Amino acid sequence: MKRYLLLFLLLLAGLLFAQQNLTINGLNEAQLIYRDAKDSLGFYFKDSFSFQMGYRNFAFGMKFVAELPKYQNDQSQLVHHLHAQNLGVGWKELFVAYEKDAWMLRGGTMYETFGSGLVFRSYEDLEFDHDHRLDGFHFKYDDAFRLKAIYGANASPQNGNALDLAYGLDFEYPLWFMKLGIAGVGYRNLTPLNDYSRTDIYSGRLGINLANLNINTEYATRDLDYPASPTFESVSGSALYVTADYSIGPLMLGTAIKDYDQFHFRQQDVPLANYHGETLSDTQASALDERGWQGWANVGLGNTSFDLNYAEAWNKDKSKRMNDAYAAVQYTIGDLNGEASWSHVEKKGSDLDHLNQEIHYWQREITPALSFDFPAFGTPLGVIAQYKLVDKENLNAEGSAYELKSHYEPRLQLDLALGGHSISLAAESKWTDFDSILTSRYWAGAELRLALSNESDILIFGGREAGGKVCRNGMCRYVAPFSGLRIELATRF
Amino acid sequence: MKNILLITLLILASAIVWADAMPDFRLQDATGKNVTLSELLDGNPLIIDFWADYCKPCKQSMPLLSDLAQRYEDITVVMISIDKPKDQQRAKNYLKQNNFKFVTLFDPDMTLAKKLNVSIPPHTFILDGKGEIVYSHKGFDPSVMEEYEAQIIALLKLGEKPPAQLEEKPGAQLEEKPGAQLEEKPVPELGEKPEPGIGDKPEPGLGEKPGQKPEKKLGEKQE
Repeated sequence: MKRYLLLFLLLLAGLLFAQQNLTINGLNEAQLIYRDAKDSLGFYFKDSFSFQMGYRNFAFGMKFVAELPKYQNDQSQLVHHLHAQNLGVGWKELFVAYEKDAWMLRGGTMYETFGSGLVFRSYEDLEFDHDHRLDGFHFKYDDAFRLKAIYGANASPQNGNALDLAYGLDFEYPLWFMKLGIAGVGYRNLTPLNDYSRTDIYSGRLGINLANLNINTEYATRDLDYPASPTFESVSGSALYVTADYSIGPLMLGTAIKDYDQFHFRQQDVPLANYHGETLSDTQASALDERGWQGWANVGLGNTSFDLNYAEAWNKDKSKRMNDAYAAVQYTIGDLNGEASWSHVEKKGSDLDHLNQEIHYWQREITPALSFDFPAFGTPLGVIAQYKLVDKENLNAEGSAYELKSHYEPRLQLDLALGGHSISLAAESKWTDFDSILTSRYWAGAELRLALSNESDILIFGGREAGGKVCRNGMCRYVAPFSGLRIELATRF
Repeated sequence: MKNILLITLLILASAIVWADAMPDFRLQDATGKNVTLSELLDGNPLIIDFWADYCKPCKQSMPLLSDLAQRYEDITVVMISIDKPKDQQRAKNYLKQNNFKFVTLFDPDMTLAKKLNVSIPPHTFILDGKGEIVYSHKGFDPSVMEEYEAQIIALLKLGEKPPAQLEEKPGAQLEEKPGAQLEEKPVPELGEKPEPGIGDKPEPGLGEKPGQKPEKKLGEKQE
């Protein structure tokens, strides 16, 4: 009987395959990892399998992930986290959707943004390993005007077994060269007292799009109440974000302004108005208390182009400040591409340390970099030389330094393409001063990419990498700090 | 049991030989206007490239793709940015500054990217005139341009025609397309290096917005 049932199911699957309107696609990413760190597992395996099926106007998708908890950057916590019983297995994404012309109705895991992300965004941030996705219902109409409605929930950070709720509506209407938009979003978040707070957010936005001039502005207000806990004070906040650019021939000038006051909540992704996407302080959410401006200029002159970017930010009482600068020149002649860039990020202010004592901090990162791409012996070759200077200083209340760190992080990367395959070699070190060049530890890393077919490729990495955004072997992605051997097989179908 | 195995293999084989259709999409362009796949399909090949502003190889590919689009005027190059909404302006500015003749679209929530299993930029798809994916490539290095060009030539069936006919084709079409550059260019041989320098940036036609292909009216449905 079971055999006939299986046969019937296979025939049914075959008939579905024969339908012209059926589309099936998926991605399997398997990793075999050996991490050069003390843990209980040694080699371990990780797999992510995502699958999407579309039939006529219906779509269905799911993602299965089997993995260990993400590695902590804090080495002392590695052993604690890396136990077999912490292995996570399950469906991390599941949805059904109906799409027809301008209409879309979806149930399940959602990805959506209202405006610039200031008032609502349901998303997963791979860079910081944050999961802010909602599960719920999502409606969209997108034609003469845009209308979006969401109702969803995700696990509360206060208690993983309870849910935080979000619901909202976004409307956008194009009018001549303008776009007018309004949005209203409500949040119900679990408090430490095990009851719910209520947040109401309203926003309006205007976009102007002319041939040489673009202006986008968004203003929002936030009211947070604790109906069940009168002991907590209500909070009112606001946010303003404006960006404008103007082009005159090869020259483009732009500016951005931000003013965030008590506007922090979970389902948002606020624009930071600086080149490197830096927050004012590493210990404070940007939308809580942050003001600033940014200015930029780009000019292209023949084979050469210049980028200049500068931003400043501060908080309300100006006890925290930062600046962010970036300058680059790119030059192209024939097959040779060259770029010289200079990055600067500096933060200064006062904060509370883990003992709740006030400290004054100052930190600065300066990164000059050179990169070249050119053909050598008939093969594309890329060379990146980067040199990071990091200074950090913390002062206690009496003004004496109790932590002073200063070091250099040189990095050299060489990328080589060989037919459909490529290899990237990198070397980096950490020098406390120039006298320690010979005595410092050096790390090497190599990544080999083999294209097995159009649908499948394999990446083999060995060595150490600091993590962050990495561009090598013709691809850019975010990686966690790593030391060891990693083999990744990606298969698309 | 053998029968079941055989049927399973047949089903799998039928799935493998199936041509992949690009799912229809509705994405916004740089001005906020909606663009759908059916509007872009005009019977000619389409190159769809997913990119992000932080991705250096993506930017490295753009002058070469722009050059390819200039030499084969029947093709349309569509750049789809997967930048976050808050980073979109920077992506728009980059394209505007460089004046590329691409159709530029934005997929900030990766709706289309997920349907195509795009997780890492750049990821390039070449579509035939009916919207079937005939080639895809993850990553970029300059040597892959030869493969892109070979795919385009195969789709345009240029290889089957004598050189004289090849030279006639672009000129004849130029007359039909308002706003296109009135310069007749010979179609290069497969693998031949592009004539203009890699960094040369095309000038837009009169009254044409940067980043938009002149002959297409994106808001209008194709017949």
